[in-house]
Parts: sequence; C-alpha cells; structure tokens
Amino acid sequence: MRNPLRKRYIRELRRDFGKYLAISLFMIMLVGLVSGYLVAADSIEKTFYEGWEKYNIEDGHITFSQTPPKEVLQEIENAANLTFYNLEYQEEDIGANGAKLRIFQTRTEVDRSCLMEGNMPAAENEIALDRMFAENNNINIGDTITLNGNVIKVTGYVALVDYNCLFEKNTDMMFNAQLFGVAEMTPEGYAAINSKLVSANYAWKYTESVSDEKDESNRSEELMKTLEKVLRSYNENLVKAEMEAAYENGLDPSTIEFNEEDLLMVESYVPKYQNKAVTFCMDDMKGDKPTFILFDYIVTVILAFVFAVNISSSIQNEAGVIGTLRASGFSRGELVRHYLFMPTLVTIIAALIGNVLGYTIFVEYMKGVFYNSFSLATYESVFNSEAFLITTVVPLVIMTAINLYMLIRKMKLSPIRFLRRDLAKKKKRRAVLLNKKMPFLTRFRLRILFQNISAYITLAFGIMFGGLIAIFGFMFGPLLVDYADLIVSEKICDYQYVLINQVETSAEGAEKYCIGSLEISLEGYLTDEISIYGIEENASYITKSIPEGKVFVSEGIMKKYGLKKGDTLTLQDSYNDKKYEFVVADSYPYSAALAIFMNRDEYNETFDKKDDYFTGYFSNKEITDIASDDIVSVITESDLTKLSDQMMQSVGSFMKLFKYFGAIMLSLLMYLMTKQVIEKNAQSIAMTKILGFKDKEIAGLYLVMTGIVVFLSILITIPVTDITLRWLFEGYLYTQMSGYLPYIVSKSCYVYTALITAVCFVLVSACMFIKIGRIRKSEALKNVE
Amino acid sequence: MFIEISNLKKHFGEGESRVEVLKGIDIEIEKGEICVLLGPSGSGKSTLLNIIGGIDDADDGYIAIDGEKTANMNEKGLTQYRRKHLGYVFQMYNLIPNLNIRENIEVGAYLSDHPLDTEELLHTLGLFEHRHKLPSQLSGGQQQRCSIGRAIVKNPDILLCDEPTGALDYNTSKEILKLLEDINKKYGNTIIMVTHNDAIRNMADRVVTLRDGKVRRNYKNENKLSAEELDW
Repeated sequence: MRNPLRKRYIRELRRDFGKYLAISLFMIMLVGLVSGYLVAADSIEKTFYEGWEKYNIEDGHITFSQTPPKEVLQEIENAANLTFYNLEYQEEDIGANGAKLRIFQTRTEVDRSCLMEGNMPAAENEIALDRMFAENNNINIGDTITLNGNVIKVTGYVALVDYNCLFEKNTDMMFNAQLFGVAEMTPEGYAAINSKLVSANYAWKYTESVSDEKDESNRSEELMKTLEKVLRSYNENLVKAEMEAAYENGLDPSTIEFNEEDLLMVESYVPKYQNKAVTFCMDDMKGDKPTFILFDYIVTVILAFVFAVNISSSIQNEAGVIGTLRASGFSRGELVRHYLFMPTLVTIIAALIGNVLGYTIFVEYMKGVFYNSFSLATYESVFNSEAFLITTVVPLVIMTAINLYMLIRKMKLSPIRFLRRDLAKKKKRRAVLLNKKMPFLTRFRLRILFQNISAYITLAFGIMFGGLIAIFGFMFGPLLVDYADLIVSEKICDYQYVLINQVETSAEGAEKYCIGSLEISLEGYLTDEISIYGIEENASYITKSIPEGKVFVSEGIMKKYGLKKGDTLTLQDSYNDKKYEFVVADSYPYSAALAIFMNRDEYNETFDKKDDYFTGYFSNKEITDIASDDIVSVITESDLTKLSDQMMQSVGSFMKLFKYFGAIMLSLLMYLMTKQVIEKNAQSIAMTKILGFKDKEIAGLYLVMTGIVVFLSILITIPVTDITLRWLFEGYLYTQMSGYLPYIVSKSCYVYTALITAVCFVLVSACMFIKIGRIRKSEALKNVE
Repeated sequence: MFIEISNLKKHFGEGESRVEVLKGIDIEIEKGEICVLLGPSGSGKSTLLNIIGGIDDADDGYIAIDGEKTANMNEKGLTQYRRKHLGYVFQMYNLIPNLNIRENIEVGAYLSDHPLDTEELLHTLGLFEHRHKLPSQLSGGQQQRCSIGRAIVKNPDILLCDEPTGALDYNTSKEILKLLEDINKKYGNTIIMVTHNDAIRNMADRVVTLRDGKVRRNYKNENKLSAEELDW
C-alpha cells in the first residue's frame, strides 16, 4: 500500500501555492541565470581555445621602433627557434569621438580573422571592421568611413583571435571597444591608407608548440634575452659603423651625437600568455565564475533556511499529529522523508526548469552580455555537465543537507514530547523577563520577536544578503559616473598634446612636459604601468610645487600599494630591467591613470634626456600653430574617461541583473517570512480578535515587529556592505586587475536600496493585512492541549 | 498472561521538583479484556499508558507483552512494536487536517501488513457518508470515531485509549464507548482505556484504580454493563 501521507503533498502545494510559486520562481531564476552563465561561459571557452588552433593564434608579438632588417629577424628566429610573421599595422582616428582604428592587412597565416557578417574586403577601398567596434560606433555593413582622407566601404564584420578584447595597449586597465577597434584591408588598400602612424609589429610562433604556461613563460624569458643580445649587437654595430664613417670623413667620433631614434628598439613585447587582448576575456570569465557559483550557493543556503523555518513551523503546528503517528508506529525516518519531500521536490523542479531556461533563454541573455563586452567569434552552446552539477546537484545537496539536519534534530524528540507539544530543545525555566515599565504593546511585540526568532533571523540574513546584492548592483553606475567626474575634475588640462617632433608653440598658457612609462611589479599584484610626468618648475597645471629630489604620486598608487609620504617607490623599465627609485613627497589628486609627477629637469636627468627635452604641451586651449604631422595625439576629456565608459558598457548588464535580483530577493524573503510569522500565530491572532483587538491593531503588533526587524536589518546591511565591498576592492579587485578604480559608494545606492526595501515592505504588509483579516476567530478554538 | 506489568516505577524532575509518578505498579491483563484505568489527575494513569505504549520509558520494573519485555527493545524495535501491535486513541483526535476521513484511516492501514477492510470499517464507524470530508468538516464525536478507525484499522492486539471521551458530550461519549465495545467484540483486541469518568468502569472487564502512583484497586468486573447501559 502506498503511503497515504503522500496525498498531502499536492494539497500542501495547493494550500500554499503562493509560497511555493514564489520560491520556485526565484529558484528557477537563480538556476536559470547561473546555468545560463555557466553554459555560455563554457561554450565560449571551448570555442575560444578551439579558435586558437582554427585561426592559428600567435605565441606573442613584438613591436619594434622601426622595421627591423631581415637578417636581424632571421638571427632571432634561428636563436629562439621561432618564425616571425609581419603584422604591421597603421592607426587612424575615425569619427568625431576620437575613436582609433588599428588597421592590418588581411591575415593569411597567423591570427586569422573570423568573418562574423558580410564579406571580407576584396577591393582597395574596402574594409572589414571588428564587430564590436562597428556596433558601438553604429557603423553598418555598406557604410563608408574615412581613413586619412580615403573613403572606405565597410564590407563585413570580423573578430580577430588576438583582439577578442579590444585593448589598445597591454598596460591599459580596461579596454574601450568604442574608442578603439581593429580592421582588415587588402594589401593594396592597406598601402593606400598611407598613415603616418605605422607600427613595425611582428607576431611569432614557436617552431615547437609550448606545452604549458610555465614552458611558455620560460621560452618567453629566453626570447627576451635573445632579443636583447641580438638588438644590442645590432645597435652596437650601427653605432660603430657610424663612428667609423665619421672617422673616415675626418670627424672626431667623440663629438658625434648619435640619434637614439636610429637605434632598433623594442617598443612593445607581449607574449600570448600576458596579452590582455587575448587572455582578459577568459580571465574575466574565470574570475566571474566562482562569484556566480558562490552566489548560487549562498542564495540556495538562504532558501534552504526559508524551507527549514517553514518546516519547523509546520512541525510545531502538527506536533500532535506527529506524536500520534509516531505512537502509531511511524518511524522517524518515514516522517523525516515526508517533511523533506517538498523542499527536495521544489529544488528538483526549479533546477530542471531553470536548466531548461538556462540553456534556451538565459544563455542567450548571457551570450548578449559577453558579446557586448568581448569581440568573440561565433559559438554554439554545448551541454555543460559542470553547470548541471553546480546548479542542480549541489543546490539539491545543500537544500537536503540543511533540512535533513534540522528534521533529524526535531524528530529526535520522543513521541510523547510531540503529543505534549513540548518541542523546545532546552527546557525554558521561565519566559524572558521584560521591564514592566515598558508599554504593554512593546512587550507584546518583543514576545512576538522571541517566539519567531528563527524566522526573523532568516529574514535578517536574507535582507542583508539581498541588500548587499542590490547595493552592489546600484553602486557601479554612480561609481563610474563619480569616477568619471573625478577624472574630469582632476585632469591636468583640457588638451594634452603628445608630439612626434619637439616643435615650439606660441599658444598662450601652453606648458612643456615630458612623459614616459615604467612598470611596477609587486608580489600579489598584477603589473601596472605607471606614467612618469616631467613637469615645468612652478607649472600652472600642477597645483602644488614638487620638492626637489622627490615625486608626487597619484592617489591611486598610494591607495593601491599602501604608500605613505617618505616611502620609496621602485619602478622598472620592462625592457632592460633597469630600476628607478623615487621618494614620495606627497600624494597628488590625479585619477585618470597611475602616475607620478617630478620636475622636468630631474626627469631629463633621470632618463638621460637632453636638458631641453620635452614630449608635448599642456594647454587649456586648442593649439593651432603646430602642424598635425607633428602631433601624435591630443588627449582630451573623452580619452580620460574612456575607462569608465567601457566599464559601464561591459559590466552595466550584469549590474542591472544584480539590482533586480537583489530587489526580488528582498521582497520574496519579506513575503515568506512575514507570512510564516502570521500563519504560525494564527491562533494567537484569532484569540486577540476574540478579545476585541481590531485587525489594524493586530497588524500594528505583528507587522510593526517585522518592520522593525526589516529596518534594523537594512541598517546593519549598510556597514556590512561597506566592509564587504571594501574587502572586495582591496583584497580582490586591486590584486586581480591592473590600474586603479577608487572605492566610491554613492549614498544614493543606500537610499535606493532602503527605498526598495520600504516599498517591498509596504506591499508585503498590505498582503499580510488582508491575510490577518481573513483569520477566523474560530481558529483560536482549534484543539490545543 | 497477555500483558504483565511488574513493579513499574517512574519519576519526573530532579532535586526539589522530583515527583514519583509511578511507585511500583503491578498489573496483569488478559488478552481481549477491556481494562479501565481510573484515578484522579496526577495519579499516573496516562504515564502508565504511555509506558505500555512504548512512547515513554520506566525507571524500574518491566512490561511484558505476550512474554516479550518492552524494556529490551531498542528504538527501532519499539517502533515496530507500536506499528504491529498497538493502536492509539487520544483525547485530542490529532487527525491530519489535509487528508480526508478515509485517508486518515488509511494512514493506519498503511502501517499494517494485514489491515482491516477500510470500507467495512467506515460503515462500522458510521463514517461512510463522510469519508470524503476533511476533519474540520466533522463534529468532535465524528473526528474521534475517525481517530479510533485509524487506530483499529491495522487490527492491533492492543488498543490504548487516553481519555477518548474527555472532550465529548454525554451522548457522543456513549456512542464512542459503544463503538469501542463493538470493536472489542468484533476483533477481540485488548483495550486499555484511561479515564477519569468513574461510570466507565462498569463496561470494563478489569478495573484498575490508581492514586498517588500506586494501584489502589485491581479487580475483575463481574457485573459488566454494556456501553448503552452506562449513565453518569
């Protein structure tokens, strides 16, 4: 005979349909989101690594200061056992927003492109643009763009395997797919662009494939050494030849000033495993994955506690029945299984539906999020057994373990204890003493709190976690706006000119400056590029005068690396390992980049430059008397804020998700736990009705107490969130990302979250007020021993 | 002897609040007897019933059912003992609110390898017409009939009834007593009934009166009346 208790499940489901529906929908959403994310991430990862082979990705690339002679390349190839491939590129500004396009010839050997839409360029005046860049700049297939005066037709969208993340430079903190993009043209078309910014860029592939990252790292170090050796020899020969030529021409070789620009130098050396344009996407996904999984588990634990509180309340209400069943011969195990059935069923159903939605709807959403951020090749969703394990098996285990533990503890009591409704683990000697001077209603509310403490604790934790998620979702928008404002308010000038040639200007207010870059590489942090500014003494664009022999350090560096006044900051030149030490005079408010500021004459001395050397001009007005051929770039506000713009674009969708999820979680828990308290106290409420209390007064007792718990929880959430987010920034973000993002939580985030909580509470209270009204007075007369 | 209770002792509390509830009880009950346990509140009759039912344990002494001592049984064995041999009826009916009357009785049937026919029992209980109703739709007497049905459907050797008429009015109480009497006659179960209603002793085969944890009187009722003849 089948156990007749089974018939209760459907009836229980029907009776408490709202509760089960709410929990199920929430779990479905949770599983769907996490499963969608994991499936999309896993599918992308699979396609990503397959793409390395399919498109023959480079093992790294080197940008030389000028095109190296063939014999130099050959010497390196032979010594390092690799092959170079010419991936020279030109860069041109495009459009009014200052977006920069890096143009390559159509790649045929390494780093081949994936055509996403349209056709590859076939004619001289045709170009295929990176999909993301084109979409961000509203450039459609068939549109035309102008590159160095040439009108070019866009024939298709591509994804380049070595630019799935559109980092302009490897040391950039964040990429900006709106202001930087890549493109391919036919060799003829490429030649016709005739840009003045041409980079002698070469990709390399080792003859023998690398076995792992360690091998890759070792080989990269070997290559660095080979490069240094070959280039030093080449440059020495160059200098020697020039001196010999001078000697032959009857000149004194010691008086010859050799032009550094004639030397063959490495401008950029990026092995694949360090190339953010290649690795950032996967690193980002791999970083997000544990967050999503942890998020899944924490929410499941909270939901498991919701069920545990609910079951605990059912056991209390049905104590007499349980006692009778136990006395009649039902075993503990049978009853444990009976009460465990519903949470298990809800979890299984929600996990299955969630997985179906994860594979169909949410995966598309997540795919959209990834495609909005990364320039990825096309991919197919693949079944992910790990996602199934994480979203179905583990939550089921969590749900079962927590409820099983609670049920085993509860069911340990003897049948007689159930029959006597004596379910307290410890005998209470007496009720908690409350001060008699306290108003009666306050004491009544406190009794409600004590009686329902487990429900209120679950509610408080749920609100804190939901609040944390919501605040996290709310904070990024204002943070990026505030960060952009900070960058703009702290900018050095309106126009920062970087010149090719040192030309003079008569522009009013223009001040010369030098700029270079070094790296900081400390254990536990990623390598950061630090801009080194050489500033005129008493410069008007820097608000404080820099003490001799010392430097001002931007606040980002100070905070990220925990520096103080008087500390010594050691930086190094990444290409020759030369180290430089700087004494910190003070911090300087500059948030656009990690930078240090020193006097120009000290800069020139430190970096062996001539006394009158400078890189460009600071100016608050546009300089008109410098020919455009002499200008490398002009840095304006939009260049400075591109980091925050891109972050907004790439993380915005995720943040929206967090916001909504947090809000839904707050409402759900408030609804479930308040309902729980009301249902548990139905008899007491009925009794107070019999005594003459009005529904409004009863609501004042039960809902006000819930309101106080909600208010206190959200109040605690603020410092808890602050501590957690600070920890996340300092412990995670600063060590896992290069660059610096200040920790700014706008007060509006807390206000929004508090407002959402208040709105949820009002809605839930309205529902519960109706519920209180529906409790019949006869409820009080139900059989209670 | 079917049920043998020997020198049974039980206390509650410790120190100053220690109360000796049973102070050495000796009772023997034959198979098929209706045994009524009488006594004022606090005399220990419910405690004795609970120990017989294996839902409470004694400090000393033993209970043997058909020669088998319950004290020798572990938790699992006690559950099996209750499952196979006992039926319980309480003053509070403790019916499962979201199962209908038939299903509540089936809960008892599920526990037995050889349950009685539910349809027939519903007729015997006078609940056939109400079999699809939920407990909340029935009167107290009907609910108690249902709880008796749940206990009896598994055809237990022993039916333990703790104040089965305690929450019922005169007429309904008599109906319930009549039902228990009919069941005893029809199925031959041993019934041990705790009550503080002195009149019920008249329908018993054996009457045991407890006071202050001791047996005051223990006798076979030679002038047994039918439940219908009872009056109080």
